[in-house]
Order: sequence, then structure tokens, then C-alpha cells
Amino acid sequence: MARAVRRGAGDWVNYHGTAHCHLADRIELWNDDAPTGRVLLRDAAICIQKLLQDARDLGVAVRAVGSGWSPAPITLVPEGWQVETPRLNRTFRLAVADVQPGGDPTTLILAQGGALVDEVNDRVEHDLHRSLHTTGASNGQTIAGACATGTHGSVLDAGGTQDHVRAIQLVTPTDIWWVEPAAGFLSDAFITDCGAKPLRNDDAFEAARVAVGCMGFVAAVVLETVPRYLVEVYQAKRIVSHDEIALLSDGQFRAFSKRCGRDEEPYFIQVILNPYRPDKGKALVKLLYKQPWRADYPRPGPVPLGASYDTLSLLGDVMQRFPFLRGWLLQKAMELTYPNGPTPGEPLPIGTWGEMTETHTPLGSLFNGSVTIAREDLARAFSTIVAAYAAGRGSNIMTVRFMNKAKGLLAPARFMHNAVIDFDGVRIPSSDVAYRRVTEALDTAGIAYGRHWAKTNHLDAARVRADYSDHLDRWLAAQAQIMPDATDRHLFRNPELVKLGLIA
Amino acid sequence: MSFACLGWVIAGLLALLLIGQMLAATADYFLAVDNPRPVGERTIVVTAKAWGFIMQSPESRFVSGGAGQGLSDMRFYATPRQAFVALISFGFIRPMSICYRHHAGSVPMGDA
Repeated sequence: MARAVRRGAGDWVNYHGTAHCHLADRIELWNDDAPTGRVLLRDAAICIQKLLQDARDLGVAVRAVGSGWSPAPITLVPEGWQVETPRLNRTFRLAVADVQPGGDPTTLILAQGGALVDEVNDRVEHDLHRSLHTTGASNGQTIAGACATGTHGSVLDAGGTQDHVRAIQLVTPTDIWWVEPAAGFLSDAFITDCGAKPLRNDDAFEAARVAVGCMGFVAAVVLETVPRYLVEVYQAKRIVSHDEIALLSDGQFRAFSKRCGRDEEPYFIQVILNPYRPDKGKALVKLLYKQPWRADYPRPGPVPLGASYDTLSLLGDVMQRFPFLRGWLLQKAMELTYPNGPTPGEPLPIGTWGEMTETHTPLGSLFNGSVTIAREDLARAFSTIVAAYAAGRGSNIMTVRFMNKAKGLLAPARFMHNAVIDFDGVRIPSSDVAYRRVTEALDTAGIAYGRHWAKTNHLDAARVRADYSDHLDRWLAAQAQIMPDATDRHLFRNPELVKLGLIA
Repeated sequence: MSFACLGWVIAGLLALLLIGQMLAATADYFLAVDNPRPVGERTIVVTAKAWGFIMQSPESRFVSGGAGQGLSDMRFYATPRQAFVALISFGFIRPMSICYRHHAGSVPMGDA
């Protein structure tokens, strides 16, 4: 039987050191041995539901927390119960009888919500001999958290991590659901064996894909994988001109790649720029090229060096005190992290998708903000964004990534083709000021954009309503369908989610 | 070169040496098991006194909540403040931060 271990009251700080609160109780969830996945899921769901019922009876708020990865305060539950999921990290194969007739279980992985993205990658690649289509660049988030916040990477023909999801097990104080599309996905027998009921509804499913922690407790997900592949990694420091930004804005990725020396359609593009020298300083360009799987590829080694906690703190402090050094310092810091470019004739590093994501080491007080715009707006928005950021004296690098429209009613990447512009780096006051300037400048220019739920975003209920309109209505209706009792919904509240209008 | 000038040069070099030592003390030393599954980051501060002759007893430094789990990774570093304390105390007081995370466990894929 799964068990909850109570660690008691105390202060808690999230992974990136950006938000903290005092908890009434910190509760770890642990699996125990079970003969099959369905029994393990049923036991875990019963344990979770008992906790939720106890909290409801006591009037205490509950938040599930995985890696605590979100820099935004959406996971905080001041004076509430924080239920930690990373030890609920088992993964399972499904059988033909576990899915609807005609379904192919060999492409699926059943993962508990606390499994890290890194762990899911490992299991998919080593045990299923398949791959995930996309994930974020870092792999330390839990799969439930990554999906719930719409985490994404820069795979050109993919959406967000949540696009893999085919069914979601949600636990509420009253019900244990497997939420699926209306057409169904898992078999009734499997759902019953999990101690759950099916909720087959397209809106409920699309709402639960990006649940932002407001649809109950995500206990498990079923993910669909793709055939195994490798990616070759091209990294170089080079000037990225306005013309090339226009190429990217037009979706001419192959033409951009050709300018980098390879006439081939890339799988992934990421451009890191210095907002103070966008067309004068060298940008860091990363392109991944998809290659067929082969067993004899040279395994990548660990990354040898990296600037970490105190280096970043020091850098942020220097930039705050000596603002005239910002542009130069950012450029130097950026260039230290990348090679000049591949040597002609030298083979590029190659590996699986999972091997190419980064094992993250803790960083102190990180700032993350992002705006997601329609890709075709990138060329005209670029100068606006850069000017606004520089005027706000921000001290972060600017990363441009690309993705297709993501699944989920509240997915921030809601345009058919998206350009995501991230501002990542040290958390000092000017980082926040500059990010706010960017959002104000985009509003003034009339350029539509979305914001990442898990990052600094300055959203409030009115803005969420304006951004998502009927999608928000459908999402709230789905929430009421999953948890008809308002007391149940209220259980998952926290100040940030109330501010966003996602929970009453 | 006069003795006074030479003295200033040596003093400058010594000052740079101290500043270099202090900055270097803030470096991170990071150790992780292969395939880490980190969970529950915590940081403790261990202080060496009298140039390491007096250490806090290990019993008072047991990491909490990790029984049966093992550690996924550890990070050793001094904050700028800790490095400064060591500098101005001539190394008599040498605090060091140890940040650690437990291992969440790693189980092969099972059958549903």
C-alpha cells in the first residue's frame, strides 16, 4: 500500500529559489511493492484521496509538488499541505487488453505523475526502444508538472510536452478519474482495475492536459511515443542578422540551416541572443538534425563545465552595480558556454533525444520570463522586444525557440506556429522590470502573445480572461465536471491561482 | 626601484592573492551519482574552527529524512559572505555550505 510520510511544518523554497512559504505540513508520498501497475496506481490513488479528504475536512489547502521546478509561485500553499510526488515515479508497459480495441500499446508508456522527464526518457528509450517527440531543454521536472504548465522545447514540428498525453489519472476528494478524449482510450477493465472511473469528454481531456494544478491531483499519465531516433547537434557562435530573423519568422528553417553550413531540414532550432547587441554580438545557435536510430553511435559524455550558483549570483550582482557593463558581460558569459563552431570534417555530437536534454544542477535565484508570439510576428516584434528589454536594463540573455500549436485549452503556445522568446538568467530587480517593459511594448504594438504558466508572467484574472476567453470558459466548465463540488475545487487553491482566476 | 615602491608592489600582489582566494572559495564542487533522481533539496552549513582542528561533530550533521534513500547529489561551496568571514578571521572560522538532494529511487519499467 502506498503511504504518506508527514514531515511536519516548516519553510519551503522552490527549486530555483524564487518563491517560498511556510507550510502547515510537508507530506511525502511513497510507493510500496505491488504485483502490477494497476494495483500500484489504485493503492496510490486511495492514499492520495484519503489525504485530500482529510484536508477537506480540516479546511486546509493542498498542493501537489513534483520537483518544485516552476519559478512562478503556482505551487506554493502557505499554511497548507504540500504533497510531494517525486517518489511516485514508476513506469509501466500497457497490454492490448488495457487499451480500447484497435489501440497499439507498444507505443505507450504509463507513468506515475512524479516520474521525472529524465526518467521517462530513460524508460522510453531503453525499455520501449522508442523516443519522446519533444520536451523542454531541462529534464528535471516531473512529467505531471511539465504537462500541467505546458512546458515545451524547440522541436519545429511538435507542440508541448502535454501533446504526448493520451489519458490522465486524476484524484479528487470525491472521485478517481481516468480522463480521456470522448472516443475513449483505455479499456473499461483497466480503468476499473485502477479503482477509477472513466471521464470521456474532449473538453475535460484538453483541460486536464494543461491543468495548472487546478483539476485535482495528477496521479498518472499515459504518453504516446514515437519511433526511436537520434539527433545530431550543431552548436556555433555566429552573428544572426535581421535577414536571418526574417527567415526564421517565415519558417524558412532549412534556409537558415543552409546559412549555418548545412542544407538540411533541422529538427530543432534555438538562437540565444544578447539583447544589447542583437545584430553585432555573436549569437549562440543550436540546431538539431534528426537521424535514423543506429546502435553504434558514439555515446555523448557529460558536459565538462558550467557556470553555477555563485558564479551567476556574482554576475548578477556585478551587472546590477555596473549597468554600463551589462552588454559586454552578457556577451562574454554567453560565449563562454558555446564552442565557436564545428571543425570542418569533424563529426557532430550525436545522441538520443533523452541524452540531448540537460541534467540540471541547482541554480540560485533564477529569473525566467517568456512571451510566445505567432511566428510570423517575429520579424516585426523582434526590434520592439529588444528595445523594450534594453530600456528596462534587463540582465538576461534572450532565447528564441519555435514550436507548433500545443494541445490543451490553456496552452500558452496557442498560435498555429509559435516563436517563444525566453529571458533567462539571474534574478535581480531589473530582470523583472525589463520583462514587464517587453509585455507592455507588445501590448502597445498590438502584438498578441501568451505567457508561460510556470515562469514569471505578471498575469492576473483579467488578463487570463482576455488571453483565453472561450477556452477559459470551457476549461472552467471542465474543472466543474471533474470536481462538481465547489469544496473539492477550493481544496487546491493558492493565492497565485486565485489571482489568475483559475480557482475560486 | 625604491624599497617603498617594492613594498607597495608586494602589498598589491598579496591583496590580489587574498581576493583571488576569496573568489575561488565561492566555487561550486558538485558531485552526483550516475542517472540522478534528485528529490528534496536541503542545505546545511558546517563550520570549521581553528583552521580545521575544531569541527562540528558529525552526529549533529546527519542529513534529515534520507534514511533508506541515499543521496542523489551534493554541492559544496562557500557563499561570498562565508568566504569573507574566513578571510577576515584569518581562516580561524571557515564556514562551508553543503547542499544535498536525496535519491527518489529508480525502478525498471514494469507491466501495468
